[in-house]
Amino acid sequence: MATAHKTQRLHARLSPEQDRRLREAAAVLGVPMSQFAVDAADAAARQVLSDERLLRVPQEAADELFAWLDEPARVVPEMRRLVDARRFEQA
Amino acid sequence: MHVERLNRRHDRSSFGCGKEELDSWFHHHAGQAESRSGSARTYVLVHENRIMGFYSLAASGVAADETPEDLLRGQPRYPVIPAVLLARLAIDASHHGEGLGERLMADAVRRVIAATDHVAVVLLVVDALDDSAAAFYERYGFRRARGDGRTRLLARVKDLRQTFGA
Repeated sequence: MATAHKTQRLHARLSPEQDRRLREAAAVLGVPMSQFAVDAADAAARQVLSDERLLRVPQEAADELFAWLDEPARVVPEMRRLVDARRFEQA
Repeated sequence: MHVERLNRRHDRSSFGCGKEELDSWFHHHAGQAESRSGSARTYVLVHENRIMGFYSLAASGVAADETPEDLLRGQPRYPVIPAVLLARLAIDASHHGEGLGERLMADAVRRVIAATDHVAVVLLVVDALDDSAAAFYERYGFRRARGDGRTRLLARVKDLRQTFGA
């Protein structure tokens, strides 16, 4: 993920353990540790931004959500108003 | 008064619903989302060449947060649920209180139902900008989703189909 103009710097503190792990992983890929860290962070950021449209539901609510989806279809009484609303023409 | 796909000939600049986030998106980004990036379909309510309202639909999904253990095993526990996002719906401020929002939402729901004749979608998700918008959708039976900061509400497509007799 090379960027045209690398003009910005990122300083970050990390634990000895994180430092060791990042160096090890960077060595596996044969890239400098700073490049590894930036590429990994950039990939994670892209993921977050591309998922913006996804609605994320916390784990503790997930079972309830899936149980609701399994329930049989029903008429929603509050939506009757929408069904009865006078329709717009379509162009 | 009729509904049609947003196109280049529409004059979007005169539209104003009073909520800056919605107006700004409609003025500056709706055209791009429609044509260049293809990320959303926007429909406009038109009366005598004036835009009185709009809504936009996009493909979306609902994903449950996985536990770190499941992620590390590479076995997500929950599938992503396919959804359509009703991202924005707004009526011009000069026509508030005329029931147009309700009719435009019904239009959006019918369009989603028609789309699901061809593509499987389980949920309709609406993005509510504030509490009054959330209350609007709740009046029509949408359920609040527990989630990440934004207020989003859900309706099951199978209930929409049942309710609308589709």
